Amino acid sequence: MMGEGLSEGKGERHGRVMFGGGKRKENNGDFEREKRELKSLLLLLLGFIAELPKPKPPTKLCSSIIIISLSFLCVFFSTRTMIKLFKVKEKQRELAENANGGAPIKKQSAGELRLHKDISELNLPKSCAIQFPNGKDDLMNFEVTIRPDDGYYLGGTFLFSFNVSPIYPHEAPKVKCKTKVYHPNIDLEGNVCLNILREDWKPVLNINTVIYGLYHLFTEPNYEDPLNHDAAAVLRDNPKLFESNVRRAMAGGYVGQTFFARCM
Amino acid sequence: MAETEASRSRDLDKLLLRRGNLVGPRFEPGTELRDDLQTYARVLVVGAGGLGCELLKDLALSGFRNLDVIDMDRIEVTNLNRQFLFRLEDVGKPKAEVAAKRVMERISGANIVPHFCRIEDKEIDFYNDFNIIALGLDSLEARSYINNVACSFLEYDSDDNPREETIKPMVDGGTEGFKGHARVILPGITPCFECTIWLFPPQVKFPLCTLAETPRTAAHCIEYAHLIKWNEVHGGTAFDPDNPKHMKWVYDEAVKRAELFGIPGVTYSLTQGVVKNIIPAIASTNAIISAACALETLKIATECSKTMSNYLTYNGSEGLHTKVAEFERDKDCLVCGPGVLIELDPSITLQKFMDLLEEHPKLRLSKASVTHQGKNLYMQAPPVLEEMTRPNLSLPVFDLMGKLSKDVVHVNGMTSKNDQKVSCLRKLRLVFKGVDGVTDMDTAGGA
Ligand SMILES: [Zn+2]
Repeated sequence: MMGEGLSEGKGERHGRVMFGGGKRKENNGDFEREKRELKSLLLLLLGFIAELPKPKPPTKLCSSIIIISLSFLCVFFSTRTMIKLFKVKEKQRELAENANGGAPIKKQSAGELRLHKDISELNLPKSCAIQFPNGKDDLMNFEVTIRPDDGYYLGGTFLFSFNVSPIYPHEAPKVKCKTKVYHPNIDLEGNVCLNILREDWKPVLNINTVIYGLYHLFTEPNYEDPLNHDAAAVLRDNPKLFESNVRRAMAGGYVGQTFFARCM
Repeated sequence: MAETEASRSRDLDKLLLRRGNLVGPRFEPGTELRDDLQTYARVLVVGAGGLGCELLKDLALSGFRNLDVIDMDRIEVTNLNRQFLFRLEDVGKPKAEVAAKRVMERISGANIVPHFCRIEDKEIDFYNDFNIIALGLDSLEARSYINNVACSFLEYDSDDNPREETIKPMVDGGTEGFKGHARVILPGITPCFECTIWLFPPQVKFPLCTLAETPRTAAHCIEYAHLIKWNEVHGGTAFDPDNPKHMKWVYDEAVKRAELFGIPGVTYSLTQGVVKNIIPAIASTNAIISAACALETLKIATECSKTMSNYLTYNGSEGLHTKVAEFERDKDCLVCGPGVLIELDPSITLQKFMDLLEEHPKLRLSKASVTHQGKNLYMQAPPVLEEMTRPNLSLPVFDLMGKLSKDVVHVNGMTSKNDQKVSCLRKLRLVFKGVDGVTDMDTAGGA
């Protein structure tokens, strides 16, 4: 239930410690036993952490960084122990109790900062426009309008919503197509099959790349990655029929059993 | 009574009352240390799940008395196998409240305040009241949030050295099946989450078209039901992974899908695992990781031993392997790094400030976009934002930043690196000349 994705550290393997016995803890809330186990574990851990050989840092460069940071430690933690510091802070806290707290300050996540960079460096083709429905200070939710200037979808207007996570770019933006479209790679609910939005997302990619990727879905629809199976089959087997289906859908009308609102 | 007290702290006393060769340089053994630990140390436990329950109990047994616990979840029946503070009759109650109550019932003297809410619901100041923050969380987002808050208290002096009294130590635990980690984060001294975010591998995401067209595994069937079928059927209703009815629906649909393609292996617990991206938790892993975290918390507070530096990994899947690796800080980290210190006159306009950035020897930053605490002061692009933020260019930065005597802003733009133009994102510490925050407060107090 706990951690999310743990990976092995970069350092080399060091000590190998085996706990004997293999006794498994049962969760019956027996505090006395818990207490005993904790005590022994505390001492055990204290012991083995001390005994481990000092891990080799990944590179030479970082060893010097570590030495610098260690010397920091010595310089900074030289007078008061932490607990003395806590004591001082507690006194201050009691004094400050009556004072009114400052206004809540919004702290920007690293994701927002990176997004700010992406957005301020956007370089979009004329056929793509970006809007911020919540104003200039909410960059995490925005909309992109694509008006393809080439291909089957020429003349149509397609709206996409973007939702960006606070851990962006660790996670790809979530993108939905808000315009109902007859398209092999976009389903009728607005899910988009674009590799860089899911399996091929990398933190070095950015919002510009994603918008270009979406744009290319309209100039080069692809029947090999179908989300709308029927549209993909028609594109593969009968491009002429596909073209007229796209036209009919964009003009507002039925393709088979499905109604599409006008988007031209 | 005194006798019970003595026997209760017998093991703690071995660490706190005696000298040793592993102790920190400022360690002062004695009963005063033990008493101070009980009286003054305030620790916040974030999360009251598998790891949080363990942490709360371990910390209370390690001599910490002033504890708070925050968790937004209610107890589910599936938690009971490892979240040992909870009983069948607690199902549906807030985890934080029950956990606090149970530990206080068993450990006299412990004073635990529960907070049944989201971590984002608390004001930033709430977190500043604690000396140490111990994390028992299951998501990267939540860790990143707390990290951001804890690092926001960090201040640097004019030589870019962290000011000790502003360091908010964090101890983070995480487990996944038989694997786990424990780490100590001293912002400004050891790497923060953001410095080492690459440690967390990205979640595996299947291509949507594979899910829609060519499912091959049970997980594909589950993700199809979760990501595609749910929206098709429920339209506007957002899928809620904590709603058992929603989960059951996804499970049933996944089973149908799996039957259609002849794929075995869809179970309810696999459905939960895939949808919530979780690996079944093992109680003993939680216990071990929590013990390591509680010990580190004790070491930070009392300096009865040097703290772990700085990342312990534990793997119990085959035999047992554990190691401590020392990761290094990213000195340019946007969250915990010092940033570039810039002194400004309060009358300087945003346009003039941006000109200064171009001339600044450490920055040489052109085409700057500027953001301050979630407010975009100026954006170079796209045109719609440039237009909206252009009026700010003629206003003083001091006014735009809410007349604070000092604060952090982030700028991005172009700079030269080896004669090549590269884009960069930098943190700046702005200090306004002649505007002293302390003097300001004194004046306010005197008025
Ligand atoms: Zn950092």
